[in-house]
Amino acid sequence: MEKKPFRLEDLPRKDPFTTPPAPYFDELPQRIQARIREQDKKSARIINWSPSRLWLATGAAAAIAVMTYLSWPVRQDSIGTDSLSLVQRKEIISYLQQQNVSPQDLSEIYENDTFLDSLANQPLQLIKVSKAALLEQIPLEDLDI
Amino acid sequence: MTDQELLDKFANPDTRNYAFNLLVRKYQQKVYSLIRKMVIDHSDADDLTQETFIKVWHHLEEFRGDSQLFTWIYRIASNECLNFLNKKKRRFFLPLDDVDYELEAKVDADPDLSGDEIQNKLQKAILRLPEKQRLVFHLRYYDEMPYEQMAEITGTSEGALKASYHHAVRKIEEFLNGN
Repeated sequence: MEKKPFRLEDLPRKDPFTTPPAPYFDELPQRIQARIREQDKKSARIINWSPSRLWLATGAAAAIAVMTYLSWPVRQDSIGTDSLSLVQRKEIISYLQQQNVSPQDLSEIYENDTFLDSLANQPLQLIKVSKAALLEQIPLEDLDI
Repeated sequence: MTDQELLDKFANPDTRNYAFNLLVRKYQQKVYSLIRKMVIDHSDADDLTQETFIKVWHHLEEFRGDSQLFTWIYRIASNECLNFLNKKKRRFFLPLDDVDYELEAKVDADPDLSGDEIQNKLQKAILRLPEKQRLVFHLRYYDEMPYEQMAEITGTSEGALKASYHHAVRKIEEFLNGN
């Protein structure tokens, strides 16, 4: 014999949960109102913005910005060649001597710079260097002869 | 006291607390009952019931009277339940099935359930419905609410609600017959 399929309408319609025991519903309204008062207290502590407070805050921020700008350390730009030209030669020499830079060192530096600058301007093939001089610079073991 | 009398007393600052007290006493059991069926757990239902009435307190002045007061309160309660269940799913990264499994476990463990085996099976079958369809089922099956009123609560058309309810019944019957 086939089992009759279950139908929802055959089931008695009743609330599946029992009512919470007393005094749950007696006390619920007071608990809700207590929670509302608590929330109202918390929201009252938050600062409410008004136009006057907004202007005050803007003014304070502007004042802080100005003070910061004025008290910012001045950046020292590098000394340009125009400024350097105002310095007397003897003062420069005195300074270099204090730094243990001799005039010969200076002249060598000048010559080297001039030579290197010329290399930059001159194509390599125009540099007059003999083959023998080149070969002297290359270790024999590196030559594939 | 009629709903209009309650609203009039609520509008008066001197009698607002008294009116609210009466309003809560009038509707608390029905609101709690709906919420409890949706979330199963008593402490969750208690919390959501309180939140519902707190929202009523804050927004009752905006109530325009274009629906019954009870419908308006029920709508708030329904939204609280749906938001709670969705939040639970998101907070624990649980898929819907796991949330339902958790609620089914609560059905087994809940001392407030009638203890009738077939009723417990029915509750588990209802838990397998999507949340909104579950709400529709509760409103129609347990509260015997007219579809017109359900449409105001859920914001869904009457036709869609009828279809949703009949599908819910079929799913529940299939589940109970399968077991």
